Amino acid sequence: MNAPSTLSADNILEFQQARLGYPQRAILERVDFSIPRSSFTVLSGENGSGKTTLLKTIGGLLPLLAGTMASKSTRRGYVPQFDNMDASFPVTAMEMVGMGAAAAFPWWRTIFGGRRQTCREYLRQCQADRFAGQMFSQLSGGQRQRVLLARALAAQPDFLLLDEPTAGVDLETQKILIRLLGHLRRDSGMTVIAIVHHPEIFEGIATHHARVADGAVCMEPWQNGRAS
Amino acid sequence: MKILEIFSPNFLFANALCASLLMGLCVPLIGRHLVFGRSILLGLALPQISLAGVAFVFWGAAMGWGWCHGLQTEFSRALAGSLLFALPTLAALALTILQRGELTESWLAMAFLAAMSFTQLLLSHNGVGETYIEDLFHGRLLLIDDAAFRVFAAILPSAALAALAFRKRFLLVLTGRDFAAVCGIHLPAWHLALALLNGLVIGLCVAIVGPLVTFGYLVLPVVGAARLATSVRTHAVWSSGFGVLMGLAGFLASYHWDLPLGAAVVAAGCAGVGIIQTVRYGLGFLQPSIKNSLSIKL
Repeated sequence: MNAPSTLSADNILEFQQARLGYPQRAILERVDFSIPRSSFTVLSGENGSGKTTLLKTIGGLLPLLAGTMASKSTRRGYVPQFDNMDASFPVTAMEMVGMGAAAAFPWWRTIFGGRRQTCREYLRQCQADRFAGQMFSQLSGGQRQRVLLARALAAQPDFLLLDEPTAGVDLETQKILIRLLGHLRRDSGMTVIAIVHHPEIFEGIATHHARVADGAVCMEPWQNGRAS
Repeated sequence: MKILEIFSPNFLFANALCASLLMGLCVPLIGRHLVFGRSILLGLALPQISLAGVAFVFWGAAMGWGWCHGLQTEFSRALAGSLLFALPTLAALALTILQRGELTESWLAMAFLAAMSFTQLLLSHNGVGETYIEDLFHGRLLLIDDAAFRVFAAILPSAALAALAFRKRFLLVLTGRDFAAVCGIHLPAWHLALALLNGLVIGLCVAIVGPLVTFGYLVLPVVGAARLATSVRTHAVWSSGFGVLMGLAGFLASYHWDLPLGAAVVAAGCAGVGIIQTVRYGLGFLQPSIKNSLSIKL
């Protein structure tokens, strides 16, 4: 599936004549697009159009049904839309990030991986360090989202996938998240792809807009200060 | 004083007491995988499936089957049967979870019922196996001999250490499967490792002390500790502490009032969870400041 040799140097990911979905039912029939390295791509489309299917395929959660997907990404990070953790799981925000940091290490180093200082730094980046010691289950939706983003960053990805990072989040957290994602892309050169329902809130940060509709993906640069 | 006799080195039931405490210390660390991985029903079904394995090997021995008959002691037959069913079942379930996302409760209920009926059918004409399994049903703690205790003492602490050492990776693949997969963690390998670790401990415990005590130690300390813990780290300490206290309280109650040990240990655990819940519920009515000052942080 991943074939870096066939990939243009400017791109981190390319789909060619790809068919995505589930073995019983394809959701996207003709996917031909590429994601430039260090870009910020917002992915929009109507409910059920296949945005999450596309993101899950990029993340390796769903197999490709046909065609090719070539990638030069060495490590991906993921911020899910929902966390389906047991409410009694007493994990703190700090420990949550520690688990993400441990994901960046080989298995034999996970015993000591995820040092507290490093984890606190990721939480600070996401402006979540003040609730580092609080239990994840007791945080608000916006606070959880910041912790989940810190966890994804702790895995040291070069390609970050976000599934509706601003859904159900208050306005203040939305602004923090958007500003943070903009900084990340500029400072670290990380490639970001995010599913969003309102692309316009990423004005000034997004570089590309991918619209998913009618079983296909239409990729275009961000134009004239708005999603074209 | 009669109660203090249990701490004497020559105490007749020293193996039972030490096994209770050892299980209390180690088994909850495995139980966390079931409770936090939302597989608590698996923790109920699996001991029963292990028990079906025990019944199967006793039946095979009675029928004169080569390798079943070759196992000389009841303990070795029970251990072989328990592990024979527990390990492959857990591995198969782990792979099913990976493929389908989760196990439905109906499948677990069916596995529980199938194992239960299978056990009883196999025992219907097997007196030796029936006696052994009846002991297991009542919690066979008191009958632990030196050989069984040595196996316990070798395997349980090792499994608990493995669970602690790899807790970040284990808990990540159980509670954040999608994130772990996207990060490139090999989920089938980790789920298989978890299945082997859990299966080894559950299979061993069922063969030696029976399904009731095993399930009690797997779940009750984890549930009780979850109401006290402020982090995953403190939860490990609380759950092992709860397990040890549960074992000790059950043993003392059993010794003092001449109660069946297995049931006494599990009842002590249930009472412990009930007390913690009641105290927390009561604290909910008090001032938040009092509640905060009483919360314990390690």
